[in-house]
Amino acid sequence: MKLILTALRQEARPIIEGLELKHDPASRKIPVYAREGTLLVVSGIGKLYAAVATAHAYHIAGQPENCHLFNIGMCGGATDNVQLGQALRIHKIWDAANGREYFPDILLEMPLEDASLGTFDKPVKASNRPNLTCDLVDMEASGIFQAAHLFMSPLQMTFIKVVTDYLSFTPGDYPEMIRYFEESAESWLPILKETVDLDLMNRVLSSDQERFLSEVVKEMRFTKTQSLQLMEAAAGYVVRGGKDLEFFKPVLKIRPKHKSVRNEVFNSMLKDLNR
Amino acid sequence: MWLRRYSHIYLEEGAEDFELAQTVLRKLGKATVVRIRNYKDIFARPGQNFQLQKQSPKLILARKKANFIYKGSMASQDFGYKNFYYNTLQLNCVYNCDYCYLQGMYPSGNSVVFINDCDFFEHTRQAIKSRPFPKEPLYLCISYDTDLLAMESFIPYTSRFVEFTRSEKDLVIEVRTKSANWSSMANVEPNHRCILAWTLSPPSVAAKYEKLTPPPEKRIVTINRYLERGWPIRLCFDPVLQVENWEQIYGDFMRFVFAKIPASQICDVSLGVFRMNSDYFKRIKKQRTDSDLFYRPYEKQNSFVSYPEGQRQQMMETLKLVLQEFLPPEKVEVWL
Ligand code: SF4
Repeated sequence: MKLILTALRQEARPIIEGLELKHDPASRKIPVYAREGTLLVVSGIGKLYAAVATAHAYHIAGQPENCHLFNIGMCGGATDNVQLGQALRIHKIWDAANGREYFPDILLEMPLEDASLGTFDKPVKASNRPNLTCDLVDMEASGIFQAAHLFMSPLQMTFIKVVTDYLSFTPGDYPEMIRYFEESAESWLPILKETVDLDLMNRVLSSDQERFLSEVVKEMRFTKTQSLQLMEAAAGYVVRGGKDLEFFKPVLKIRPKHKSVRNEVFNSMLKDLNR
Repeated sequence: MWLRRYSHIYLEEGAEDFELAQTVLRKLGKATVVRIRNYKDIFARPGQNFQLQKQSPKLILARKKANFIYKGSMASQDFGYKNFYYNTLQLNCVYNCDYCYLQGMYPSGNSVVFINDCDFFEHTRQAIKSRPFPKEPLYLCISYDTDLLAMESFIPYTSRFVEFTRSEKDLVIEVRTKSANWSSMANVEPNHRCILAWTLSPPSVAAKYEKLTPPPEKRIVTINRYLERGWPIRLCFDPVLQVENWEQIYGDFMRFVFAKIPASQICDVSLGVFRMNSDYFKRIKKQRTDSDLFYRPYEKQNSFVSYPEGQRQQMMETLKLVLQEFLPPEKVEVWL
């Protein structure tokens, strides 16, 4: 499941078009766009709104354990080493208000350079650029990180920021800033399309196998302890290369009427799995 | 899909002042450097995933501020040395063995390298002076929770400790490794108080359970080069795993090893079965779906998980006999 957060509708537009997302009319206060496996939420400006939108996205997505969160947005360049229209992946987020630093894991290859980002509560003036120790400046990322970290691992988060100004702009510059952002989409939209969820659940048994074993437990009226032992033995069987649990199917035909028969069936199942 | 290993170096505030940090930064010149305040901000973040981070591990360069040397625990092999200590120059390892307890001990798959070698040397000197048994040397394991020699080409810690040991007459060090690294130590003069200890497992076991390590055949070639140069060498058949047909697999392998390596030139051999702290075992089992090692019938004894006692005894007795075909009994240290 991909969860995407942008602050502005203009930032969402190339994503909505590129990923063919549909507006969800049920969500009116916080705009949501979705399709199978992808959900985009527009938070509004500022880290508080961003944090609320992050939690909202995670909950309406059904609190998926395997998911990847992207924050894509415009930002100001605090150094001349970054170019207008350049998209960068963030390796450090510094919250200017509380001074804390947050680190998304950088594990996957992406065709973007890295940068550090400062999240500020108010727009930063160009005159402050010499005092900044970060490469880029935004108003949301630290809020998103903090909220997301309650639900997911730092390796499930990717922050991509596009430089649209050097901290000195007027409302008249907005169209050009939006243009920089939209034109950069070709460098980061494929990342959104192609990144696959990292498997964090570490399940040995597939949901089908778990369902099948639960059925066996129910039919055989195994005790709680027997059920745990059976699951453990089945996991060991699968890890050791056992292909499927189909060979238990005939067992399901037995309807044990006595504890002794049930225990016999249980022991023979364990024996088969531990072979 | 995964970024190359050590694509990023996290540099703790003040760490850059140390020459060893500069060496690492120079050797890994292509890495992106990220400045951090404290190594724990990266290494101890909640919600990390050891195995996924191992796919693209990062290096954290930090300054150790306390605990430069630890007293060896009862659960470790002291090889008869009464003043037995170890240190942690690095947290985590370049390799990723299935049976490694580090997966359960550390919250992160990234590696921390403490770059203030001068402080480690100073505290080691103090420990030598105040060692409880002054007639015996201080025995220090420097590659305890890691594999230093494997990283020697860009973190020259082994050679530095060898030089330090040369000037400390009452110090003996052990460097445990699985590496096949010869070139970065080729010009270092051997020292009889620096024991290089190689862990060896049969090729089929190494291929399955010692991920990322060089094959045992390569390790054996490397061991011979060090032997020829005059380094004291220890061999560790530890942990022995109860794989199917273990008797033959390990027996044949030991005979193969001593057909290649002259047993008379080896300091000693250690032999031990798989064992692990039970809390670490539980933690690792939750994370790993790819290793059958965690789905065997073990027995818990004194907070350690291992094979049932009778089986452990039998494994050690059997393999000790094989080793005694080549070495006198006093050269074989068995660890049950
Ligand atoms: S070489 Fe040693 S420290 Fe490294 S992963 Fe293997 S067992 Fe652990």
